[in-house]
Amino acid sequence: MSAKDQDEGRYTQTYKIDYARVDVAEIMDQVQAKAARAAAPDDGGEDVPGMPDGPVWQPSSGPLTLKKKVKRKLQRFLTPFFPVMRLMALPVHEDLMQTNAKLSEASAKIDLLLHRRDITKEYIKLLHVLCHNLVMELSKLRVEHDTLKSRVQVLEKDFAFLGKRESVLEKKIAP
Amino acid sequence: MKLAFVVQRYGLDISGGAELHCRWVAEHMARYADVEVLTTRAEDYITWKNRYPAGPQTINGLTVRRFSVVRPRRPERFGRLQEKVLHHEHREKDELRWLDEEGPRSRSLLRYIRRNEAAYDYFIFFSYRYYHSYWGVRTVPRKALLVPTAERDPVIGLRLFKPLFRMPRAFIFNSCEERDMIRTVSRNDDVPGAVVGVGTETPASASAERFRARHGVEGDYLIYIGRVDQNKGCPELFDFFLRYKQDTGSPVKLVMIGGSVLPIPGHPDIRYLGILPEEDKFDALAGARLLVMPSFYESLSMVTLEAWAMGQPVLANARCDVLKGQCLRSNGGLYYGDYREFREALSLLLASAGLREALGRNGLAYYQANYTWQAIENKYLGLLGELEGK
Repeated sequence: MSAKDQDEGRYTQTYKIDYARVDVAEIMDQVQAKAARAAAPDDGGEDVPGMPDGPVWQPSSGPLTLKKKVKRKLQRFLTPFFPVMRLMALPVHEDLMQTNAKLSEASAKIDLLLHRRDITKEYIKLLHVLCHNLVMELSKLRVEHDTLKSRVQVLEKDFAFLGKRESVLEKKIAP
Repeated sequence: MKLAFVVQRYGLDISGGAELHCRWVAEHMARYADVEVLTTRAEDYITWKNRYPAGPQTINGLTVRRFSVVRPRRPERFGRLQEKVLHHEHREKDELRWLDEEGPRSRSLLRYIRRNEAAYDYFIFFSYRYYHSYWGVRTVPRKALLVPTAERDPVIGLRLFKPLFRMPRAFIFNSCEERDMIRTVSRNDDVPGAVVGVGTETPASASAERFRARHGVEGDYLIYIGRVDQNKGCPELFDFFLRYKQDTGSPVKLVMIGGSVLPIPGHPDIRYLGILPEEDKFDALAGARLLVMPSFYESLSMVTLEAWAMGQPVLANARCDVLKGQCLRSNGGLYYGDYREFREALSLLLASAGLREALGRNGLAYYQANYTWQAIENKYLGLLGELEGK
């Protein structure tokens, strides 16, 4: 048995399926239950999707090329000037740090908004179902209302008829 | 018996759902009755411009009478009216204006129906929402059979259609869900009707290898066949499929066949092949792991039936009640209501060859019991016989 087959076997073992008499409703109950379980608590704890599994990048350490030699000499020559250069770069560095802070703040806000958007989406779905159910119930009520109205009309007519009959009978008994 | 099939467009090169449905049924019923087709000269369903020549012609042995469309649709005006009747307070007059603008407005077609009512035993109208059906059914109500091809979209709720649904002699529905929806909307329980649908034919031999060699598709793939459109749920399918790949690392591909009105994501595992000949389509279906059907609005879904006819399982959108109902009745496919269910159902289907086989087998049995042409023809003949007896 190949590794792929073993993986497949392990996956399908979590379902109870009678392959001779497949019942889609039963399978869907299991699928929905599993989807609900997967959605429950640890959605935030998942690995970052799309993260590559390959090796992390490392700096190469080969023999010194001309480029590297020039770079080293230049570094040696510039070393005494580094404090001045750092001093000059300080305002830029501070700007960079502030921008970073603002970016991370914006990123947090975007995450929050995305989360709210997801909640709103679910809420809209629920509202949609609610509207649908309300329309159904209102339609039923309207039909019932019409039926009751016509029954009332029939009863009113019966009542009027009986009233007339009563007065006629009274006249006959006691003219 | 002489039957007239009345439809908005007709032609060998027209592949719209209701139009193709009408052509197939008309061609099959020609074995049992004298069949004619009454239609317009339009080829394009957006504008209904007259393209075909007027007058009678013969297509696949059937007489087709074409009538001119008085005025092509003005999309801007139509859009405005549609917005008003679907989303704002309005009067019935506005709905009638919307219907006029939706078209295809062919007075000569209606005049022909009125003058030649006696020449036909029954007029079978396709698609309730168009001008020809609305006024045609009113012109000959005692001889009108309506094939509504209704989807659960907001148009079904318009007031003008309620009396229409109480008017025809009988209904020919595509699914139980469509029948229940129309009965609920119009309370027309006294009008007889039968759930029939449409048949489909599969080629004697379909070859997955031929498809793979011709289009360079390797490995496992899901297939979507149909128009790549917003209403068909394609943006959601792209989103779910890409998330699925990201979450599971599955190498499965998505092959898409059909005309597109949407940009397709540039992902290496989404292969869009455009419109393909029938042979290629069935070859592709034969090699697929399953058919995915993300549409929200369907009155039947002929592609789903074709997949079952090929013994393939289906993964459908549960928010389309027809697709969900078909899956439950046939036990031939799973369905999903959101991404999590999509992920679980797709993972299960891809992991279990046994389940795919069992679902495909059930789908095939369901197709053979209900949707072979012999079954469809028998249902039509049964309904017509019932009406004759009354």
